[in-house]
Amino acid sequence: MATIMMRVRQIAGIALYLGLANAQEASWRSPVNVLSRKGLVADQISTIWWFLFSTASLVFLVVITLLLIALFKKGQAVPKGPVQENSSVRPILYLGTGLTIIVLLITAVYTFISMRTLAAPSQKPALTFEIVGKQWWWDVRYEGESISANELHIPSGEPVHFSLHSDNVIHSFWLPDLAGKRDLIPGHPNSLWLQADEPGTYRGSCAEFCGVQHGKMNFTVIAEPRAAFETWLEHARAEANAAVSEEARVGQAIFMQQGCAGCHSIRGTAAQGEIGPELTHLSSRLTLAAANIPNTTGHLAAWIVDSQSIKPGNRMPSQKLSGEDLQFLLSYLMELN
Amino acid sequence: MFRGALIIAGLAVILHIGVILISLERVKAKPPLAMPDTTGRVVSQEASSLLKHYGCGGCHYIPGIAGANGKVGPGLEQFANRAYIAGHLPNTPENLVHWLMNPQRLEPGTAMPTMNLTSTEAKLIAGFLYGYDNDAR
Ligand code: HEC
Ligand SMILES: [Cu+2]
Repeated sequence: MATIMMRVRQIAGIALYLGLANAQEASWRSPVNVLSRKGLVADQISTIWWFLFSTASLVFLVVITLLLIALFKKGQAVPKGPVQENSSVRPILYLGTGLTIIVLLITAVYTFISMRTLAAPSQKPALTFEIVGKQWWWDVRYEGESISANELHIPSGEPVHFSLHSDNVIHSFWLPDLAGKRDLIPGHPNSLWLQADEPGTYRGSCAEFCGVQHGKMNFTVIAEPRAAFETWLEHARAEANAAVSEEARVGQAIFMQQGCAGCHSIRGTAAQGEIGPELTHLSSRLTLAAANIPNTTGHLAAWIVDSQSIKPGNRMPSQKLSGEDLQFLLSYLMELN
Repeated sequence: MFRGALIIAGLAVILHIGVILISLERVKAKPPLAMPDTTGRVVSQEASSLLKHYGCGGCHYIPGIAGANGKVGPGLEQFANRAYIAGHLPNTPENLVHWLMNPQRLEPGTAMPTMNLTSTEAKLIAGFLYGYDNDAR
């Protein structure tokens, strides 16, 4: 029985999300499930969904059954004239209307009560991240400072608060495994809380069409125990390592001259650009270009010299670099861990 | 009246069954272990996941690998027929494996970075490029 229920849920979940499921990928690409119960908020939403779905299915079944009975039952024809005046039909009319009102009332009250508990966590979140939606990536800020892009860690088992902003068009922050969507609206900060019950890697995406590369505007959230999270946060807020190897030092100079520094910032260096993602600890991230390609040397090289083929129309021009300079740059970027 | 109601009821039921059937199909459908490319060749899952992990497709066109349509470097179709690797190394399996493991040593300053492939990985990929990936191990 339990397995049948699981099966049914799985099927319904996938039916709702046809197209995104693609097993066999790395964890930051693993399929998302809109009906998952991996977090407090997601759990509530899932319960509401199953309640409404069962109620609606029941009503559907009853209506179809009654309809079929009525269609195939042999009997006298319904007399002509307004239904209200026909005493043999009147009870059905009252019963139908009455039942409908009761069912709607129950679902409405139930939904309102659940939404109240969703509005605020019982325990005030100890942490707030600011998320700024960009075209087409996510700036992750903490206490007013960009500390990462397209990837952040959160402590598991406690509520976390997100303050959502945009300085361009409307985006929507959506982590289907953990919570519902919330829009990022220019000039109107929004907020969202969520909780990951278990450590894990969760995939998120933009859920409001925001331009050509909307479809490639994803992000990754890594939930981990509090201690590991604190180590991450401290590291993320720290300045970049000084370039160690000779190649990396040459690469750093190229980064500053080539124009990268005009768009990207690396804390602790002269690079202060704000058009693209901050790159202070780039090589410690899992992905590049808003959770679209794995962060490996080959992908990184391809991104730098041909970002426009990988994500056509994105705001980073493909860079014209000699092969040598590219190697130096790569050495530098790989040292930014 | 009767006809109309029957048709609507029928459609609703068919729609429901349809959604359930499609979902079942989705749940069952597993990605194929190996898939033929446009020329009908079968690509091993191992080589294909290596190529994807290292990002070869970001710079090269590689038939049979989904999304590998980069234009930074040369296309890698029919690689066995090439006379030279990178324009100057004779195209032998040994040279190809060395090239994959450390292109910067063989041709300093080429755009292709050294990605620290192990020799097993390089052999798998070389085998794939020559078209006999099934017995590359
Ligand atoms: C005109 C501004 C601009 C310049 C110049 C520029 N970039 Fe970018 N870069 C961007 C933008 C915007 C993005 C985000 C693209 C996206 O994901 O949509 C980006 C993304 C990146 C990323 C991926 C970061 C991540 O976490 O996903 C890397 C790495 C990067 N750039 C490196 C470089 C390097 C190296 C140079 C110089 C050779 C450079 N960029 C020059 C604007 C620029
Ligand atoms: Cu979007």
